Amino acid sequence: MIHPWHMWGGAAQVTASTSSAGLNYRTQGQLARIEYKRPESWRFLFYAKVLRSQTSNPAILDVQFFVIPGVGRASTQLGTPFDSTVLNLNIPFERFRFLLPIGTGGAVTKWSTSVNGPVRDDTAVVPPVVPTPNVVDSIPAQDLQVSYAAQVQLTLPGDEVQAELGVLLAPWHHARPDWQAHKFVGEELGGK
Amino acid sequence: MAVAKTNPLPNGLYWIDLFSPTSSAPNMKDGAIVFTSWTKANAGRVKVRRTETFPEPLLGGPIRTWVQFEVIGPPGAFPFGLGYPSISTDPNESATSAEPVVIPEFGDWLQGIAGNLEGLAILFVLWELSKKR
Repeated sequence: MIHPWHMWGGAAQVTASTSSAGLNYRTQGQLARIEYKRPESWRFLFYAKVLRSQTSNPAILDVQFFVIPGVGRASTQLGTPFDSTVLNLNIPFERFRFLLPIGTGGAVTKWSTSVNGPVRDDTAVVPPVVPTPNVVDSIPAQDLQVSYAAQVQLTLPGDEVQAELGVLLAPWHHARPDWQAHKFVGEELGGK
Repeated sequence: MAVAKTNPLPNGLYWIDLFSPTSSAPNMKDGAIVFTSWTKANAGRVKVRRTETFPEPLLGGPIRTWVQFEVIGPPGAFPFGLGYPSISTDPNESATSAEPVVIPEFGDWLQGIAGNLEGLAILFVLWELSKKR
């Protein structure tokens, strides 16, 4: 049986390798998709794990997550994968960067259950006189999409990076109308 | 739900969700094309058993295609960038065919108890009759 929430979590593997000098590896894909039929507040856990790396020069693995929440008549994409030639100007919903050492590396994991939203006031002095934190730890949505993009610059033949990245989503309060009709399509009964 | 994370995929039945770009989600690889390329490159070792395609969500996003496939010989490396394929336990599994678990309404419970009492009463009468013989 496929549970209704099977698309609320998703993981993908990124494998970048090169047999020639100089490769700007980029990839992107979809991780999760929710069609909840009603608005909810969604908690999230983003993670990225370098499974192994073999690099001739220091390299940076850049992992980005993008979110499309929608409620009623409104939806918006928070961050666009590689929409800028200057990657640093692109603000994803969440971002992890791994500094990969020369030689063999791996088994490093980064995760988060909250993100820092964009600076609200570009004209404010830096650092601001009054701190204006913009920590986001939930997303209002009835429809929710999460996608990823990953990038790494490999320099010499034989360089390789393998990573896993994913997202887990769950509503703050999960009471399903189905339960009122005594239907348990996710086999929720008997949980231990 | 178990997923396969190693290449080559062992023989067996799997399913995966593929996503294709739309005007509201244009910046992504077409998972259906990547998957089809993999199945074509592994013709004879991979067999697509069923697919279900869902429309674009009302508020935008990629199109989802659910695919159940069978590995019948060691295939080339699966493109795990699509996500990890789930190990399928049911050949008739479907993305939409989940049968709801239904518990009886309160009235049904009473009816069930009443039915059981009726059965017990009949058994008791039969037992009493057997004692009198």
